[in-house]
Amino acid sequence: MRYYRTQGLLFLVPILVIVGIFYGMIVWDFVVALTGWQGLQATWKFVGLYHFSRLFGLQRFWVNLGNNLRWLLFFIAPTVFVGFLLAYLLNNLGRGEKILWQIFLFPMSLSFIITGVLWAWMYDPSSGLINSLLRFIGVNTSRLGWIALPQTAIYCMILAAFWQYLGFSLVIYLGAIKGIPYEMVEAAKMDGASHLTVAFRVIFPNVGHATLICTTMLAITTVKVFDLVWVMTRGGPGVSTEVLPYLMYRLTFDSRDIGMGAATSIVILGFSAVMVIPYSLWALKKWVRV
Amino acid sequence: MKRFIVWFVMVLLVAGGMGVIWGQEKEAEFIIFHYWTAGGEKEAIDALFELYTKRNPGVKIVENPVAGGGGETMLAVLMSNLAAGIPPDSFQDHQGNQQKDYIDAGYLEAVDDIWQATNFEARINPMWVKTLKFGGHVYSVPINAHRTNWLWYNKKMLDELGIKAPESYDDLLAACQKIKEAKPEVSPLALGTREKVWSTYLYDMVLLTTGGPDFYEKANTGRIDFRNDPTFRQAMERYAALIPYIYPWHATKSWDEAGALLKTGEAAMYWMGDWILGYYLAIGMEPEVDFSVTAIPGDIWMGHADTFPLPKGAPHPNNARDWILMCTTPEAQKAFNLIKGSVTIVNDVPADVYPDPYRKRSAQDLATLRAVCDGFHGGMITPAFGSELMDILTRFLVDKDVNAAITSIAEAAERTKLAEACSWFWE
Repeated sequence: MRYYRTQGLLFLVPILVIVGIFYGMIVWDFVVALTGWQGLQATWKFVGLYHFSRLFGLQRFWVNLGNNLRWLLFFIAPTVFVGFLLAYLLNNLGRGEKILWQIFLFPMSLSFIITGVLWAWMYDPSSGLINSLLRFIGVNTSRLGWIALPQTAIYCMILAAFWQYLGFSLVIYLGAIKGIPYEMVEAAKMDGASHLTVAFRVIFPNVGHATLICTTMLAITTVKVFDLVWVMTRGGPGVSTEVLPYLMYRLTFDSRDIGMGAATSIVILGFSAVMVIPYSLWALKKWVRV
Repeated sequence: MKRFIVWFVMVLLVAGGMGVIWGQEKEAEFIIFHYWTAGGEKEAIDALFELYTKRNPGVKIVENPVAGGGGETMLAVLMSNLAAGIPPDSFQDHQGNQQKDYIDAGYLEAVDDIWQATNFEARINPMWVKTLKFGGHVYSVPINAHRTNWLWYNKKMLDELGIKAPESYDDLLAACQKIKEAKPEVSPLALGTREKVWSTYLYDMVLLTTGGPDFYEKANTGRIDFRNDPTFRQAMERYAALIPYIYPWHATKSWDEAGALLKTGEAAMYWMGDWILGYYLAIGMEPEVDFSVTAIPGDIWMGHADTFPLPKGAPHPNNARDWILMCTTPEAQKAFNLIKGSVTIVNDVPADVYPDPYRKRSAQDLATLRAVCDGFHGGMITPAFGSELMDILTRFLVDKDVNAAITSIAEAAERTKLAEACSWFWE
């Protein structure tokens, strides 16, 4: 028994080293956040929590944090809800199902970069597809700026992400629904339950694990969303669509304020930990019990 | 976190790669980082490589040896390479505060002897000396001069409306009003702030036209009281006055897409550096028929240079020094700039070598007029302040709130210690 354990540990060494480096970098990042590192050369001058207090004093930081929360709110719920609805409908569709879910899943195979470029083209107020179509049917588009307007830009961006990730939640739910014993649904139908009741009273409570996967994965996506912002608006107009990872990049590589950048990344780390760790614990508990 | 890991692995890989290179012949290579990869730019740097190979037949030129090192990522890769102590032999840089960060970090070596041997200082506009000399030393040689106080305009439209090419801010504003009245569907002034930096170009223009070159230099090095300076307030008000005439969806356009608005007739005028000329020629616009250009103000040359510095610990120092020496020669300057669309830094290349009237004028003006460096790319302001400034200005372009913009700029200047960081300029 002892023999096997040593050997097992030996086989684990490569991954342990990588994980070790990974956590080492987090520690290093935290140390950097406590130093006054500005410019290109590392300056190991201890400044304590100065960067954090400066960061929290930036109006821009709160705009960014608000945008991250907006992403959480307006991206996850619709994607999960519509994904579930579509999965339920497709499951009842019969033959067309396979073709349709391929179509819905297709955007998932694109990267955020491509999605961003595509949607930025469509949103373009003067020559984009959306305004061109609207003009064609006689709508006055002179005030419809989409991503050029600070009030609407972030929602337009979230819609693009919704388009991309809908297929993901659809497939997860479809798989989960197929795993439910059919007798349960039949029994409900026999009792005269409508489609709506079946969907939300019978099926939804039984696909909780799918909801967990979806929300967790989507939450992780929203916390690290950077590419879409970079491609579609670069945080503009002004800072209205900036999110925390974007701020981290700007502070580190544009302002060359490495300490502040590191402090931002620590905040992002904390933010995602608060969201993901309770979820994972809950999920693990559930799966272990089952 | 993922980003850091990526950098770390990248640095390791590069270190490994460089180790292999070092293991081979010592001075047989010349390693250079640059991001001239687009059409026109690529040919320009290739012309320099050709000249260099003629001078040094045995030397192999290695461009951007890091995968993904081209374009926007070059700076980040360069930064990690310099920090890891594995510099290239030279790299593409600007001047002023853009370069000063490298000097402060101790990454660059002085090339005073090359400047002296080639009498370089006497051959260039004094402004370049001012923005390239740090504590009495120079660390690089500039290769080209891009003019940025150019107003490009749709010639047909302005002729049709009987508007003379504007030569001052007041002319510009009057022209904007006239165009808006005659053609309400046209945006008088094109702008693209997808890259936010272009909002600072208009800022430079209003500073320069409101307070003159001395005020401009003071303002951009943080030597004015942003909150209370009446000239600065006036400049911001003049910026605000232009906003209603700017293309409303500027946030969705990149600099070239915004430039194309002149071709489609959606906009009439465009404040942009001379690199747009190459783009206009490429999309089939006829000079002096479809478009023309005017300088505002006409008696100042504003712009910036691309430079080649000498990194400390360059793996092939002799090759690097010869590259820099070569870049001081009129032949190299001419070969590069004729293709690149810019003009030579050195005044001893005659202005009539350029095929178009715009660069002829730019070269003449640079040799004879007072010159100033533009704010962001010219390194008058620091990258840290510039980064905040463009965020403030792109917000200002939307809300037009002069007071808020002034307060934010003052705060950003204090936070990034602009005056302190720019004190080298006044030494």
